[in-house]
Amino acid sequence: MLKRPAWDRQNWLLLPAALIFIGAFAAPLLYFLVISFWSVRARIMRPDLTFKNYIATWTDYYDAMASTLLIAFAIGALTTILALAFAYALRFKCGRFEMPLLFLALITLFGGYLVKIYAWKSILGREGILNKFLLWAGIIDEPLGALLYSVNGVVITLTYFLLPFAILPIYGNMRAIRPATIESARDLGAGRWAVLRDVVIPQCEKGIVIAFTFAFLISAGDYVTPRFVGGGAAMMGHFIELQFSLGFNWPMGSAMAFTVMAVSLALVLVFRGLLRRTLQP
Amino acid sequence: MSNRKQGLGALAELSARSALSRRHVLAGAAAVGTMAAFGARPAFAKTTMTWMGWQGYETPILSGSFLADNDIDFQPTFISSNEEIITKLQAGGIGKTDLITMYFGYLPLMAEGELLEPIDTAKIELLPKLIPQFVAQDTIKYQGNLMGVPWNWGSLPLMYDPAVVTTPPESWLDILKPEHKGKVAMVDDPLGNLLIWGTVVTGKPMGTILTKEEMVQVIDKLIEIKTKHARAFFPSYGDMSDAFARNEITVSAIGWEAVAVWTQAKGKTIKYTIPKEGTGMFMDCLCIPKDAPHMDLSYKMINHIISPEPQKQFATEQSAGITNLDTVPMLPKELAESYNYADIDGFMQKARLQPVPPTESDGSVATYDDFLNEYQRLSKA
Repeated sequence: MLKRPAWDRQNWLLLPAALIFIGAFAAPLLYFLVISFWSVRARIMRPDLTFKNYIATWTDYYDAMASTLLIAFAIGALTTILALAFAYALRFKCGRFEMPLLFLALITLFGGYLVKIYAWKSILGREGILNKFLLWAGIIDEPLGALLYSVNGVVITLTYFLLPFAILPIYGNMRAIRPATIESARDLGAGRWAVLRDVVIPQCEKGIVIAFTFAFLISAGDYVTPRFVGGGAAMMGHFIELQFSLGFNWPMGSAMAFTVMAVSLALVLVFRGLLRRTLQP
Repeated sequence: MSNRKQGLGALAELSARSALSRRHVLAGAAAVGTMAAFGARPAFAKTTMTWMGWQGYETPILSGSFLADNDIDFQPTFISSNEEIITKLQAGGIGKTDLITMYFGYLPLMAEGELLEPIDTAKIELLPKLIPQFVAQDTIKYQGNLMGVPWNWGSLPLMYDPAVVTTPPESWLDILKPEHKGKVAMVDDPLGNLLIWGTVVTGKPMGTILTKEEMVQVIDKLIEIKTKHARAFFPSYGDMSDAFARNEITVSAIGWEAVAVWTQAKGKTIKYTIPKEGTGMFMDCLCIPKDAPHMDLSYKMINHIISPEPQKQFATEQSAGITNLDTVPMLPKELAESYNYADIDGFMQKARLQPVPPTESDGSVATYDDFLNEYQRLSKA
């Protein structure tokens, strides 16, 4: 009789984690998926099997969804590009300052989310640090109002918040690239852009996809930052919240949440596919 | 600790006096261990009471020795909007929350949504002392039961920065003057906006009871203010206060007396006025959520909050209106006059208590759902 492999017994050790995952993540998600097909009458949820919530999501919120995904895409792209540039500079240009600079970038993770939002309100306001600096430098004649309480404020704040999360996976990939590889490419006549396109980026593909996915999905689902620095730039999260609160309509809110989730995941898959195709030699 | 020592001593004495088997000794030791474990605990554990409301609204609860006298471990949850309470109750707060403070207009909706317990009026000893015009409001009753106890009130005045606006605006429409362009504050307070602008746009005294066409006109006006005049559509009154303090705004399309207190604390003076069109009035009620875990203590807490001394402390610290008439003589003269306790009916002519739009309609009046759908248009703009 064959001896059972040891890993089989060790799997039981995963049980507590599995139970937590099922209880705290999978079960609530399943519950919201089920009720997304229910309806509401007289403020009470009624078990049902209707697609009207999904249809209403597309007919009533297509514009909010489009602007949400557009803003999230802009934040995802900007964050990923900045993270790629920062990680590249860290790995290949900063020499002995590599670790201190990485530490500086990651230390921002210790700050609270709301603290960062309020900090940016102080920086971007009409009488904020940035406007004062621009006035002092003579770059502008009067304070810029569009920095805060606008889509610009949302993009700046969320990009800052998400940057460390995007730097880590890309930098992790770059650690595996030996400087000798880059030198070899240069010796063979590749220019800077060719090295980046044909050597660095292909080896950071996974990191780039993870960074973009993080930044895009978190931005698409966020509704706190737009409320505080967006000045009324409402994203889908806000309308989903409205359904769960004032609307007494959890089924509708759930359908909206699953629709955003599905569309966002589809866009991430498209991005990954496009990136792979672009990087193919 | 002393219980544990006494138990061990008793066991030693018993062991010396009698010949015990090992089994008996082990059983005795287990019994002492159990005694020690339970004996080490305090005789009475504190009762944890969960409360939800605006920051500052906990003032009367903390007043005096109420919490200590009743061995209560007070756990407040602060909100940024009334609607947040509805969300939290629906998302698992039922059965775990002892007391909430809620805008009176939402009570019928919450009662219909089975989120509230009816109030047993026999247990509210101070109910006859409360301002009768408030207790008599039909909106706080559902199927013949009182659903909340009025405990504080105020209005939604127009707020302005006197350093910039030297003469108090006479009309709400004054905020649309060119000099305020890009410096008007709006707050994402759905009902508050309707209370004010429903009347301003239609001229009807009840800005919440409108036809569908009128509702569209009101939201159109708010969209115009948001897109052409507002600095921002702030998520809360606290954020509006911050913006006043940072000189981002000069006037507001909505207000709350407490904002002046908060802004003053940040070193900036702002003033408020009720324009000629009048404004909305709010009245907050103490409500017991469905299946509240400590019902008797919830009633005790309500009675404490509406008693004179805690009401006085709340009114003076928050510059708020209170409901216990016995408290009025205890208030500073300026505060009592600003709320016009001597002529509540007169005050209610300028600042009107208004219900939320009806949940059902024969088509002649816009319903609550019609309002929400329209309001989302404002959110998207």
